[in-house]
Amino acid sequence: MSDEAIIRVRNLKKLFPVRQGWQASFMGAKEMNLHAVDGVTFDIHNDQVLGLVGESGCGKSTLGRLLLKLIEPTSGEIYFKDTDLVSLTQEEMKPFRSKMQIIFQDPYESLNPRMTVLDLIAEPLEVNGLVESEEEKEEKVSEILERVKLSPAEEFLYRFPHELSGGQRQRIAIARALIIHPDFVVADEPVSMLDTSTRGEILNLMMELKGLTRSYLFITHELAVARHFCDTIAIMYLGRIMEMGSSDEIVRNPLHPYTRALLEATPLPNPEARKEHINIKGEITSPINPPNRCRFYSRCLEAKEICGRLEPELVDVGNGHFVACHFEDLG
Amino acid sequence: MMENILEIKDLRIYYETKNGEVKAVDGVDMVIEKGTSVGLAGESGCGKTTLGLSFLKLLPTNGKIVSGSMIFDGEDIYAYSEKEFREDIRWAEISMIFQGAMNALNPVFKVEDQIAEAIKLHDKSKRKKERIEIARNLLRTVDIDPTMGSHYPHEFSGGMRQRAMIAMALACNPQLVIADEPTTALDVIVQKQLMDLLRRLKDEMDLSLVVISHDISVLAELCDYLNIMYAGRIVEWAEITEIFSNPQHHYTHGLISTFPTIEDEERLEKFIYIEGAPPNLLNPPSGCRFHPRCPAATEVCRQDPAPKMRLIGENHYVACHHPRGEE
Repeated sequence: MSDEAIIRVRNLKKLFPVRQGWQASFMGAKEMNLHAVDGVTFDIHNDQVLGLVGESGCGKSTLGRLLLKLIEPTSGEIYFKDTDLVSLTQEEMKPFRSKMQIIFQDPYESLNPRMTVLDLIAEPLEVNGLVESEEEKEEKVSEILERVKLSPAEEFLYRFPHELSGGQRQRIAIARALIIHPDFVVADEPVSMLDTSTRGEILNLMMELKGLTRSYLFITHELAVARHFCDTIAIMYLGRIMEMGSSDEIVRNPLHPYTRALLEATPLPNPEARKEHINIKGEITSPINPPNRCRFYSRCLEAKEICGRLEPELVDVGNGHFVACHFEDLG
Repeated sequence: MMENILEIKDLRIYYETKNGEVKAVDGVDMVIEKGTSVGLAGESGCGKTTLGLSFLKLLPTNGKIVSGSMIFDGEDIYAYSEKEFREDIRWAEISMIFQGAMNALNPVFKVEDQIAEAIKLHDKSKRKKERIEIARNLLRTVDIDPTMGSHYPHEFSGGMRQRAMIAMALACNPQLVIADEPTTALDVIVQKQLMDLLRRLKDEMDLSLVVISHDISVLAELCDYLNIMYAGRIVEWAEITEIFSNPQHHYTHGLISTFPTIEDEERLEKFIYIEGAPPNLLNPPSGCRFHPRCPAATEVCRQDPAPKMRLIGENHYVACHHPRGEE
């Protein structure tokens, strides 16, 4: 892994205002915000696959979209190499758009049903002015179709999305993201809509095509997939990163009680390894105006007095392993 | 030999569509022993939900039971009229936990009223107060504070709604509960809590369970037996530890291998997958329906009739000409 960071994120926040009735605001009610991403800091290096793992509503998809500036952050910094993307206008963002791409979760919704495969895949080329003639366009699209194993390419060029299976559509989405050789790709749950027997094929393909991009942010709710696909895993909970480290470290030596609960709760395809109970209580709390305390406080069985009045920072505990817990050394 | 609570014989359910006949369930035999939980695993479109709905005769109007019988407690309940079935079987003896708890509860009724409604339909002798009391007790059974019963579904979290659905399924003391993807779309921690609950209820109330899921790791946690369904047919059936440690059908083996696990010491170099995609049931392949994707397929697999389920080990059946143990 080279040390050159492609993406550096510093204290990134995205707050969504919560609408209140006029009576509430008339009565001077406090402004309410949903803290979707609430002070997140990390780097993504050259050749690195960072897995962002968390439960629904933890802010992982919002974070993915923020990095591409598909939505505007509330505060914080996002550096692409040396450029701070936050200060750029949408117009100034344009040259960077060709270097960053996204693969969406649902290939049944992310592809325009009225466009052919050729037009779908060529769209990023045309938008960025990377092709000059129809022949060149077709040649480039055919080439990438073969690489995503939709071959022979001629058979697919003039088909429409409805003529393709879920797996084939997701391959189109991958081809579309990678055809302009971006430096950075956000993959937002790229296999969660696919049948289990075909998911491995798509994951393998994304691995093989790593030559066409330089780094991935891989968003998933499945720790088991992240464990094998990603170099580094960041565990997210209510808008914060609770723990981050190499995927081996996270699985073998989890330090945060939340990570441990996630690991225990992950079902194993092995009936002889049934586990009876897990060490967690309650359900996920509200992300609206969270108090200054550990986000996991109300569910943590090991919570102490300090956890209820001070939010722990993400600290380096060595070996590239970061954890946000006051009692990380008790792990 | 344990008593069977339910036996399905040669069940065929076809859908009439404008493109032709879809053979969603095509010759299924299944046995459920009393007090056990039986898993039904398969990918989307394999017919597992259709099979699940057929236990309660709740098929969509274009779905027809073409043949087959369903023996419940010694009687063929498919021979019952709709009225008899509704009064004596549906919910009273066999109930269901539906997929997608978010949409299965009626948003304009209080949760306890919805549970009490199910009791009312089957037991007219109880007064409203009694019914609400039973509903609240059921909520307590599924670990919901009984005072929450007077709230509306939107005030419940996803996990609580699914628990309320379970309470509703238990309202009339059924013997058999069908759970269709009971934990899909829930987070892993909530999923785990629900699985613990289902296991506990099964033991405490002496229920028999059929759990339908695409996720075999969920079934591995919950079930005593596992049926593997592919393209409208059951291809393998065995006791749960047997099927995971010694899968005989190539599809079963493939399906189990495709699941990455956090148990592995090292990262996988490659993810395992099954070549191709599940067939379209409008026009399924001849012979064994898995043959186009099967690594061991030979000429005989392409020809009709399809391989029949046969005994291959103790309590282990497989429908394959070349099971893995005989290679």
